[in-house]
Amino acid sequence: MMNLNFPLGNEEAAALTAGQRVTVTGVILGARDAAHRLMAQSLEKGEGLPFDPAGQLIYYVGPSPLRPGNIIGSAGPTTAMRMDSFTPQLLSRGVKATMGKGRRGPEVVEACRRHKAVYLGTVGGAAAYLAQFITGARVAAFPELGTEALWEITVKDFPAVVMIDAEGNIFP
Amino acid sequence: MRTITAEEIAQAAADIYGEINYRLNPRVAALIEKAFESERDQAARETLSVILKNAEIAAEGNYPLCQDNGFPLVWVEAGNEVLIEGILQDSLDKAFARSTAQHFLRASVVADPLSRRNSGDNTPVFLHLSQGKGDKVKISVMAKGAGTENATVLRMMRPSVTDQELIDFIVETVSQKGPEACPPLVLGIGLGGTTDLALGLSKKALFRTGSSRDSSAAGLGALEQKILAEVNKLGIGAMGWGGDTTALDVRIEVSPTHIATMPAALSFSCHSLRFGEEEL
Repeated sequence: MMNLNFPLGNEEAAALTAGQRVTVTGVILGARDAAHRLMAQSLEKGEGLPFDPAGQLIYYVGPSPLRPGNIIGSAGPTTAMRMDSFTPQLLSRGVKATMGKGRRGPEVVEACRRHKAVYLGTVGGAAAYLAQFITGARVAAFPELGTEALWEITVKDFPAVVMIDAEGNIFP
Repeated sequence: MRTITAEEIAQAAADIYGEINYRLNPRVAALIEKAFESERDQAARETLSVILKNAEIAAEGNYPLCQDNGFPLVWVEAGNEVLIEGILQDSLDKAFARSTAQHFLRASVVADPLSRRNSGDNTPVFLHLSQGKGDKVKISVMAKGAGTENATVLRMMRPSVTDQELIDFIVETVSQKGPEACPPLVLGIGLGGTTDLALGLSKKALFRTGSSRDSSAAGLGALEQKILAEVNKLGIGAMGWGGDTTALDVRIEVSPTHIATMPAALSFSCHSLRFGEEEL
């Protein structure tokens, strides 16, 4: 099984094919609705992003609270489609992958094709299981958003499947 | 006349809410296991086995089944010989705020839908209070996530609707909305009533998942089975990645309705339907 190390290079992203099972390793970002809205507002005002987007992966997650002694709470994917309108501009700034669950709309498929980026799907509702592949987590921005903050998450061998590849092919 | 305090009812409900977020209902687990046994698609088998593994890990008590512990939904049916002392909504809010914190569950409720300000403690509880007969208090609790809630559909069908048209509506809706609700799904269908009653029944129907209890109306078992078979022909499969099992179960509840209406409501549950019931 192909392991993707993030930040990811253009060639590695371009080589992926829809339907391919992969694992994800490295430091990735976690963000969902509220963080995406704040980032979109920043970009509109001409301000930058609170992270370096080059080669990055954004995982659509809002984890459950942290138990003492653990690294993160349960951390499964949320429905990606809700972040569709925010995604093309993030991909245009160098984000190489997004990860969530469910299908995405044509604007995201087109943006993946245009920017040679991918969308990965992982198992929704397997939040306890997926937390086991997370080796580090901290809030990187927007702490006032609680679970919806921008997270910096370290993962090792996190399982996913390529649902949209860099040519715009869709799985299933 | 029997007196029971609002606190006692609220604590029982809050305890169920904590429990169901960690321990998958054995009836649901049995349906997933059955789906795993019969699944021919290798990738779907793998996904179903991950779902079962998730339940094993969650049962150890350190990680809830899902990061979305869902709307706290509570139905209380108090018998007519029961007097509830206290304000049930207030007691539920307090008990659920405690349970949410104690069980390390996420505050998943916003106090205002426009400002989206998080209520901070996963309240208010969404309570349906009704009166039954006798001296018992029946409590039903469901943790319903947003992925499934966002897939809910109400269609006002014609009174002369045929069974096949109903089946087609369900199959079409599952095809459009199902993949984002974490299949394999459980489908709850409410037919008749007023619009809001049909939607409520479609949620309530989920409580019969995997049970031998029949619907409130006789003869619906055959329709439930027919819909289940048709939906599974879609081949959407676990997480929408293809497979034999798109839905684990289908349950229908019906209600009297107006001569000129036929509300048809479809509620979805994800693969790890979280519900529990108790009688006090």
